[in-house]
Amino acid sequence: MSEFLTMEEIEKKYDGEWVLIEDVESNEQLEVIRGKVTYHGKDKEKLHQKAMKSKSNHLATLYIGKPDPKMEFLLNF
Amino acid sequence: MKTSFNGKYGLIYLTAKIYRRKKNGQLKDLILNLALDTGASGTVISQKRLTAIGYDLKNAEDEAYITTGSGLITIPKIRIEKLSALGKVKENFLINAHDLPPTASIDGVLGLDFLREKVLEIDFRQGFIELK
Repeated sequence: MSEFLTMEEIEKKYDGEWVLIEDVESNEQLEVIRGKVTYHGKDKEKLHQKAMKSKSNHLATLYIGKPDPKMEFLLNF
Repeated sequence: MKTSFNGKYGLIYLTAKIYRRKKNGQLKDLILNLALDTGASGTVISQKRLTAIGYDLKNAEDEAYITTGSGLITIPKIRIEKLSALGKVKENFLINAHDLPPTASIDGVLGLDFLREKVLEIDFRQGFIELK
């Protein structure tokens, strides 16, 4: 059974990982306040599989941590 | 509503929420990270995140073409019930469903179609963004 964690606790525990958070409580700015982390890790496919099975109506899938400042992105659609 | 971001380097990361009403009437939602991309004409959201809250990619309303390093690919365009970001909401919003590479720390991009008819203020010095 996953326990409710605050976003501050989630950021401390899962730095550099993807997390699936269920039963999310968020504020007006859509920042997660707290929730239950039911997956954490670097594998986005596993995150997806877990998210697909979730019965929670309030989910968040977030990457925790700061991106590498050396990483460059070229996004255009 | 002002949203803060790191103006010093990297992408402009935003938190967005997508919604879908389930058959039993309950509203399911998912918070995810998008990057603001003012060079993108359309908003893109990960196919995996869309299917996770129940959108069916087989019911695409249209398709879009993307030129990639390995050639031209076709991606489905899906009408989602609601997308909220930067304090604004778009309902019945047609988005591009496409998974970004696993190394990307985002699940899509917020494109110009979300921003049109509004005023976008980006302050790189102070590190905030506001959509009015």
